[in-house]
Amino acid sequence: MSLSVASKTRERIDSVLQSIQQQRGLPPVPLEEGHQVMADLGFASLDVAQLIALLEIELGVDPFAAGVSLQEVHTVGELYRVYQDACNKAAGQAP
Amino acid sequence: MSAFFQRLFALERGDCLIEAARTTGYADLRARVDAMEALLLRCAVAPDAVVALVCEETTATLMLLLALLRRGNIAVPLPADGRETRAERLTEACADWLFTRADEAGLQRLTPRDKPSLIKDLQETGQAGLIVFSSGTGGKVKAALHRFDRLVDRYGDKPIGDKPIGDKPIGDKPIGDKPIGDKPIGDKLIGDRTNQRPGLRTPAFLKLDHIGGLDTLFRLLHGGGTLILGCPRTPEAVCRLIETHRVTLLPTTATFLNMILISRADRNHDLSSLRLIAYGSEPMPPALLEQARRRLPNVRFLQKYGLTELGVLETRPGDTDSTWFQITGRTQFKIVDGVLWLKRNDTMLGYLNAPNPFDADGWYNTGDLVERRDGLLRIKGRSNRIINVAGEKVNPFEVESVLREIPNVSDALVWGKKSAVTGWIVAATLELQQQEDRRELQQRVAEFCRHRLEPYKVPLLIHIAREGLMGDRLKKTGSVAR
Repeated sequence: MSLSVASKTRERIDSVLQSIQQQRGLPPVPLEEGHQVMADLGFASLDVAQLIALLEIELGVDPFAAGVSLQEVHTVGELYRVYQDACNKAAGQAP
Repeated sequence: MSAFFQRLFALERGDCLIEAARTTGYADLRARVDAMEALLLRCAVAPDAVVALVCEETTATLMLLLALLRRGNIAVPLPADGRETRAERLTEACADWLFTRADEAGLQRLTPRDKPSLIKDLQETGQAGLIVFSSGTGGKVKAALHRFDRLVDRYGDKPIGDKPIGDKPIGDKPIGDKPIGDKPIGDKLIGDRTNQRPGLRTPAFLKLDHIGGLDTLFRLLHGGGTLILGCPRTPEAVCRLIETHRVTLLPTTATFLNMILISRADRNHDLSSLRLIAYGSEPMPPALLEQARRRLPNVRFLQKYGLTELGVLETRPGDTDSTWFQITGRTQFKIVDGVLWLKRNDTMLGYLNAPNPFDADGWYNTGDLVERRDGLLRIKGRSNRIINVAGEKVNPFEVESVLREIPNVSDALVWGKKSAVTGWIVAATLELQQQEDRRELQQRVAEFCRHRLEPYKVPLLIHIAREGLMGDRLKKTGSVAR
């Protein structure tokens, strides 16, 4: 995946994260790769479920339905990586 | 001749059917049915044959249906717009003949098939039968065999014609649903031609291959009413038809009623003749009913309840809120884990292509979730549509009722989407009045639902419908699992 495409993927993930924050009335925490999605951003299990569903619409992939374990993803950075890998696979590129 | 036909042919005043500008009076009915019977005789259709007919909404088709039922045939009404399922239905019904239209040129002899014992047993009695297909939400259609006389006996021996309606408060006795006694239709009533009052006037809104449409037809004829054929199923056209034909009864669905209100078609036409709206097939959201009451203050609303397997039951509205209703007549009911079970002694004889759905004591699980209050019932949704979100049960109907109150949302279909986190999440497809950005809509939905629904019931995923949610049965298409 080219840098610009990877960057767009991150932007879209950020956008979805922020929309859920806004929707839930959570305090707007600046997104950093080291932030834990649940502990730092305040996401509950329903928010994570929504995040995955909305990212499927935005990016056209659901890595967790394709076998990735939820346990592998704790931070925003891990989220970027898992989705970039899934987008690469969907596009037929090596991760 | 059965009591139903004796009664029908005793009627001599009023219109029976209206098709475009052509009217068939009750006085002509017997001759029209006789003519169709002569056609069956000419074509050597045996009096116990299984005969399918494509239910175009024409007078001739209905005369053919009546002729088949009077003779003792087993009639198989097929949808006019269902060519793709026709072969399957003909096979499941073991049909001997097919009428694609109601004349000799439209008749086809089909390959003879060995009949299941249910059909053979009915043929031996000489009684007429009806094979009605369930319009199930998935999988193979089920063919339900009914004995015709048992299906129509439930209409009882009330006087011919309807009582004046519209001037009584809700909660009084409903129209056409007097408690049914055990007495058969007596000669006195049949012979008393002066007893005929003007009957209900209603469009053939529900399709005539469906138990609801067939019940409308038979119940209306039994009561000396007028059926208006060729009913276009758009709000504007239906309201125009009500005005033109001075319709008094509109059988419909919650979804279609919603469309009428949204389109404001009711404001473009004189609907003052309308006295009763009988709704069924799907739950009625209380807010929609309230809105309909305000817009149509002189109309009474009645929940109808019917099943392919049991026919249409006798119901009457509750005292103050007609989403509550009472099951009357010969039906026994019980509620098990929130689900309605019913028992009658005049149900279908059985499925031709599926196991017997009745338990050892004759109870039938409707799959409908209901509430009970003071002997009244209210339908809450379907048990097989419940969405399990992290162990919490969500009834889509409850969520749809809230979503429909959101400005710019004209209808909603709630469904479950699989989730790696919570098992399932609630998703919704919304029909909008005006286009809107999906993300902004998602925010609005979340905001609107926040104080009205528990968090696990709030739709986490919103789709915007590209076309209307109403299916060909005039109710919302079933839940979508993705």
